[in-house]
Amino acid sequence: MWNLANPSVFLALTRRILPWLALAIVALFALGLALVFAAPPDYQQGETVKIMYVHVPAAWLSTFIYGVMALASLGTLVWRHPLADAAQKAAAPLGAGFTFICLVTGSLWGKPMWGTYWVWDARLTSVLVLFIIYLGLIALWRSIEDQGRAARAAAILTLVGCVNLPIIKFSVDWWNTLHQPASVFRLGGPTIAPQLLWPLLIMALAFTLLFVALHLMAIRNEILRRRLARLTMIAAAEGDPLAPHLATGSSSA
Amino acid sequence: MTTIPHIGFIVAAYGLAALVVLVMIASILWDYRALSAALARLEAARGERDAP
Repeated sequence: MWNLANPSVFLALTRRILPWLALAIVALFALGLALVFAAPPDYQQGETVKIMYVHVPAAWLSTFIYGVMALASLGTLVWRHPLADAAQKAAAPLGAGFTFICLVTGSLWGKPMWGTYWVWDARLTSVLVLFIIYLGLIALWRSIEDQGRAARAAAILTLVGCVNLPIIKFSVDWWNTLHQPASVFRLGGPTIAPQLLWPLLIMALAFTLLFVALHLMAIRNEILRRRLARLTMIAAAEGDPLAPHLATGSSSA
Repeated sequence: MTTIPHIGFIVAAYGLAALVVLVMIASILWDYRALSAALARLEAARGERDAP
C-alpha cells in the first residue's frame, strides 16, 4: 500500500492494469446484459423488474464509493498517505454520478410500480442527502485553493457524512416506506429467485469494476495535475513569463 | 404483436445509466488528454530553454 504512495509506481501500475480491467468490464457487461434480457419477468412487476439490474448496482456503488472516500479520509487525516486525498477527490464525482443513476432509475421504476416518481420517505430522502453531500464535497475541493487545506476539510466533511450510511441501509427497517426492504444482503439469505439474482450479481460486479477503473484513471489525472502545478510554479519562479499560459494551453495570449 | 408494459420506463432507465457512464468516462479521458498535453508543452518549453 505504501509502495503505491510513489506516484511513478502508481502510474506504472495503472498503465499495466487498465487494459485488462477494460476487457473484464466489457466481458462482464456483455454477459450481464445477455442474462438480464434472458431472465424471466417478475411475477408481480413483470418486465419492469429489468430496471433493478441498473438501479441496484448503482445504489450499492453509491454507498460503497462513500465508504472508499471515508477510508481515504482516514488515510489523509490519520496515516497521511500521500495519495489518500487524491483518491478521495477522484472518487467524489464518480459517487455523485452513480448516486444520480440510482435516484433517476429509482424514480423511473417507482412511477409504474408505486404510481409516483418520488416520495419523501426515509430511503429516498437519505439517498438524496448522500447525492447532495457528494456535490458539496466537489464544491469544497473547488472552492479552496490550497490543496492541503481542501483535503483536510473534505476529509472531515466526508467522515461527518458517514452518519448517513447506516440511515440509508436501515431506513427501510426503521421507518414505514414505499421502498422494499433488503432482499439480497440480509440475515437468512437472499429472497430473490436465482434466475433474477445471478444477472444482478454479475451486473453489480461489472459496475464495481467500472468504478475501480474510473477511479484509477481519475487518481492518475490528479497525479498529473499536481505534477503540472509543480512544474508551472518552478517555471514561474525561474522567471518564465509563459509558465501560466503553457499550463493552460493559451500560449498565444 | 405484443408490447412490453412500461417499456418506455425500462428504455429510459438503461439509456440514462449509459449516458451518465459515458459522460464520466469521456470527462476523465478528456481531462487526461488536456493534462498530458499541458505537461508535454511545459516540459518541451523547459527543454528548449535549458538547451545550450
